[in-house]
Amino acid sequence: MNKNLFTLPSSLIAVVLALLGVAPHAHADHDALFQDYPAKVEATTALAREYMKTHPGQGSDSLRRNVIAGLSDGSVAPARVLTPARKRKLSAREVFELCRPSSLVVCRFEHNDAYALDSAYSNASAVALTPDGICATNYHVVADLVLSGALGHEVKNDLMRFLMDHEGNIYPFRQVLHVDPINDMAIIRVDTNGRKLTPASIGTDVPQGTTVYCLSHPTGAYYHFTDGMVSNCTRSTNKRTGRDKYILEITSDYGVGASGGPIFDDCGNLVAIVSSTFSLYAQPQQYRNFQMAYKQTVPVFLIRECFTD
Amino acid sequence: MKKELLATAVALALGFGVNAQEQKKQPDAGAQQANEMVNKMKEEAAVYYAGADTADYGVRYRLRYLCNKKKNIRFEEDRVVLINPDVTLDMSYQGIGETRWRMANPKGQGGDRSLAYHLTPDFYFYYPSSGRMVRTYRIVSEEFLLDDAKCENNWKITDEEKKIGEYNCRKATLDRGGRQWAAWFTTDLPHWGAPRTFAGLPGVVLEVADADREVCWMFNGLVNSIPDSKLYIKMPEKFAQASPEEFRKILRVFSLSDNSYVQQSGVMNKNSSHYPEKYSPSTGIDACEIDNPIER
Repeated sequence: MNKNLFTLPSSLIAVVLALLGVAPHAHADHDALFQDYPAKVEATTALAREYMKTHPGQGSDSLRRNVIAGLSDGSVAPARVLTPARKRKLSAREVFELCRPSSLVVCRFEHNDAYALDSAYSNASAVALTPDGICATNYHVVADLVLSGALGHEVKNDLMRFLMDHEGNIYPFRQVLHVDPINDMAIIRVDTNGRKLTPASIGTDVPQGTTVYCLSHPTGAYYHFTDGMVSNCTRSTNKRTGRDKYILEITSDYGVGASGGPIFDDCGNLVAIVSSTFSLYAQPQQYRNFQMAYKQTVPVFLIRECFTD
Repeated sequence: MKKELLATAVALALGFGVNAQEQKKQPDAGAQQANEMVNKMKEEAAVYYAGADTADYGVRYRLRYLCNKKKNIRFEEDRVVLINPDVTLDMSYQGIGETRWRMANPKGQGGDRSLAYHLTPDFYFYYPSSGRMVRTYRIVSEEFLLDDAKCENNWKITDEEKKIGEYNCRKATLDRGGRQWAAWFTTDLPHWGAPRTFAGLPGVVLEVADADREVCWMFNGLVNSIPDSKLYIKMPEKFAQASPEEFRKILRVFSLSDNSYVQQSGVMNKNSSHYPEKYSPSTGIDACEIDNPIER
């Protein structure tokens, strides 16, 4: 496979920038720290377009057609493929540096009829679990793919889904391996095209009071890093269906776009993925007098259970 | 400046005037829209059910099922068996019940409180003359063929009798699927009929239960065809292609997915002009965690 399909070579970027008359700016020394992630997301449109050209028939429709055949009820891979938990405590800064490569942006590549244009945009988050392309996100991020694919429906203008890493490389969705609609969790496989993802080390259950960090991509704020603690661990059984739902509540801040993003402990181990927020109002009928928002995440043991020998 | 202010005031006044007029019109527009929707659904139903069999009558049951023994969860659903001399159909009663409640309560809020509001879109067609039993399942607008085989139940008819409602019934027993079943059937009603796959008795079954009373269908009255809510018996004309393994996975994702996901996925809009009813299975038995299967 052509490695350059996923990132434009820096020389080419330089030529393009020169042609556009964009000269290196005055604060270039600070660019390593102050990242222009929206530009990276914007650049994925060209990469996605190129991928579609070189991999015809491997877009969203193909994913839909094979979605049911690819789903597994049991183990998606042996437990040994997961990275064991780290034991050394890290500073917040170290956690960020260590974990940033594992946090991925979920993007959609769509055709817009009105502008007769194909373009990519980000809409959620994910985390790498294995170097060869197994990742976790939320069920609600892939639910439309799974449900429409299950009934053999094609969706106009949905060209491709892919993940983007912090360097702007893209990893197209290949397969949905497992879904847990009750707990809002999905395991997917992406095409790494010979690259290796940086998998998160997999932690264990974390009790209330444990320090946690969220490294996700709320709308317009890529690689947003927040700290907090585990505020609650709850289990509820639906009285009608008998099915159990597990929620790990945290105080780290996140919002729309963070769905599926990783939550790490202070050793840099994955302990949960973002799921949803629940807003508490004093007058809930009128959505008035907002008081607090519960941040609800999917505990990591549900992911770990998908990997058995 | 004064002119601008005056123009703004006039524009605002006109704007409020228009809004007020729109508000006055709104109730009529809403009613008209609702009528249009009802008429569209009737047209769709007429197309979908063109040439379909109709039942002479239906028998309503309340299904009570201890589906999860460990968590003590009992599932309840309103079912109906539609009966004519040639074919019977066991299906959920919720669609018919809702339609009839809306007809009786055109301005009513909510719904029929007597309904369990649990809907499993499985269908059991039975042809008494041949003993053929066809099982189908509808997921949103797609029909799946699950089984098409002869139904052979080795019923033992006893001398035990009792009355259910105004009907004289006789008891019959059956060993099947790891349970001891007892059915009460009557010959006071015309033709043959039974819930699920309990066919084969010479009459209409009004009650079936296993010996432990963990699964039972209790008689809940008769239903007649009426002009605006006919009791159609329609075998789907085509089925989605899926192996049993694929169907099991499809059923799982739809049963466990929240209705909002199903709606957002766009699958509810597909074939909207061909199906008068769209069912989501997630309110039925398949959404439940079952540790006590009906067929053990």
